[in-house]
Amino acid sequence: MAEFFDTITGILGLLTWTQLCFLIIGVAAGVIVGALPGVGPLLGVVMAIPFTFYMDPISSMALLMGIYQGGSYGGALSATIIGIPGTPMAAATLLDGHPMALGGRASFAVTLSTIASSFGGVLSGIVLIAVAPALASIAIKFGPSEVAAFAFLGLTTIGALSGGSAAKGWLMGFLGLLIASVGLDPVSGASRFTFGSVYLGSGISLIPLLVGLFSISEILRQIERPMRVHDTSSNVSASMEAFRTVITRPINYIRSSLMGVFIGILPGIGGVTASFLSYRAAMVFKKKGDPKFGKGNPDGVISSEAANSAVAGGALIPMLAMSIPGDPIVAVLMGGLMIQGIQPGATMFLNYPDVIDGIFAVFVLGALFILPIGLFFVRIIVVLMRLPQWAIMSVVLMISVIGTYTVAREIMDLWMLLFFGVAGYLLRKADYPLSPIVVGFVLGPIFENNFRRTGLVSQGDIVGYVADRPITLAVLVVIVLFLAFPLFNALKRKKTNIPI
Amino acid sequence: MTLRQREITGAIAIMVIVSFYLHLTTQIDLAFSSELETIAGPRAYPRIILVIMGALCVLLLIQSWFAQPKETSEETGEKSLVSVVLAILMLCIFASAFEPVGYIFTVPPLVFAAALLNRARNWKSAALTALISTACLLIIFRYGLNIVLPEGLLGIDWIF
Repeated sequence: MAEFFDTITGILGLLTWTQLCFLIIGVAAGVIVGALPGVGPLLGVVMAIPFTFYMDPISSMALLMGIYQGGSYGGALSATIIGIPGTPMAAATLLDGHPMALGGRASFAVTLSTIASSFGGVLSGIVLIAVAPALASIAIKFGPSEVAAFAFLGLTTIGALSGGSAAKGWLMGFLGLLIASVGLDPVSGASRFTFGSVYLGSGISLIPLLVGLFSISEILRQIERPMRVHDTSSNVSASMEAFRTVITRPINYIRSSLMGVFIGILPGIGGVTASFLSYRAAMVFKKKGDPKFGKGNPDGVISSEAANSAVAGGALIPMLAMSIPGDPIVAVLMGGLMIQGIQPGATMFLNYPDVIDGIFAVFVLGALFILPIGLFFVRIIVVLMRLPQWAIMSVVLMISVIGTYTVAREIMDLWMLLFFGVAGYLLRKADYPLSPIVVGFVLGPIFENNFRRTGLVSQGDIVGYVADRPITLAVLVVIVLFLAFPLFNALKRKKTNIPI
Repeated sequence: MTLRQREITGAIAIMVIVSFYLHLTTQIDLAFSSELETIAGPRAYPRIILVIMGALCVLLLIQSWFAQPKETSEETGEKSLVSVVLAILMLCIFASAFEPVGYIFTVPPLVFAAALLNRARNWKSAALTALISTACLLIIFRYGLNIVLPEGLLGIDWIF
């Protein structure tokens, strides 16, 4: 407990000025990319990854986590002002935020969502600081079979809860594992799927994969189906009335933030579910005299924004403590740490305590920075939202291509980028989710090493060995439940005659 | 092509790739491996993944075949498809020319072409965006991150 308070009180002194600057740049950039429909925090983090190659680990995390936090909030701006959520997480904010804006209260709605996002982030940061080290101290005792089982759990939950068809999610997760297996075999050194290429011998790099799958495929998709240009004529500024409203509703903030953290911890569920569940909870506890939900109720905006910002802290807990990314953006953040030569997981708390403290500091301060950036620069952000889509996408293309090349100054990276871009575009066309590929790719080496170590330790009798490991068994039971979940859902739908 | 047709085509394409890679696992060299064909060996792990992928493809094919047709407003027009193919070609040309021709001569045409393919209405604005963004990125890399970008044809050191 004393350690927890030391971390909280010493948080300001943990970062250098350079790291603080990267955090501010990250949050500001995140708010902008989050507010731009068609870009979003995932693409923002992916575009920034190549630039972090040249930074120290904490600066790198400051930039990437700033974009993540700012982007989670930025979606609320476009949802409120133009009625189109910049991110799917902001869809619940739109329900009450946009009616407020239409009624001439855009400033009130934006200020409410800014305060809610900031508060949700800070609260989830505190939970992150309290829970992650405790979880890591348990996880450090795990053997290879437990680690492999947890990695596999991360993969199955992403598949089971990826929104559309679970089988498609799993297939993409396994595709990620397969891509991660290209290169030299980590145990025997045998060459796998390299076609004799020296470039492929060192494995597929994370950056061309990420940027290709998310950035290039999105650009190709928008070339095929351009987005509408939106009117952003609303005049927005900070509202004092919103501050007064906030003070009278602390329970909603705390309840929604805690729901967000809890949902964030569960891999694969993410911010959309969190914001809609807390919105639903706010409906249950509706205050008398407030407008109806969907007609500009302040609790609707508060619950949705507090929850979706709090998801970030929750999602970081399993990633830092157990190497399980809670959502696709956290999988990319995990990749960002791996680029720095740091393997997230329980051992990170022993080997890189300074980076862990830096990440905690970055997270809490990032949530606090949302408040001034969101309130005082909102006018600039609204102006940027007027930029034409062609200008945004062509600049995104340029940053993606050049950023990818400069990491290794290797022209083959550009060809890989193009390959994954076209593959991502075709997979999107066939309605396959792309995020599980990244989760599979970052979990691949962890899963493979521990799975094969389990095979070696068990000397061939893997079933007998696992039967003696209660934690592994318990995780395997959870995995079976997750695999059965979509099947139960399908049977239930069939009984009620809902088309699958 | 409807969404259902695309789903079926996707599953078949992945299945073909899976079969090809399954064949490739027979070529994984076991010479340095003491575990040979055991679960800890170099062949077993990718084979397990590929077999599961194959099973999932079959499941998806069955699901798509028997599911009620989902309809989609997302029909690709011929013109849009041509734009996508042009964009891919443009990226191929860029990847081939980037190092030999250099940053200055390849990036502005790439951004300009991307803007036009994204339906920029005014070519002058597209050209201006290309020039300004190229210059900004050059400054960020050269002076902010201290990274030298390919000089290519220019080859004049003092500019970079």
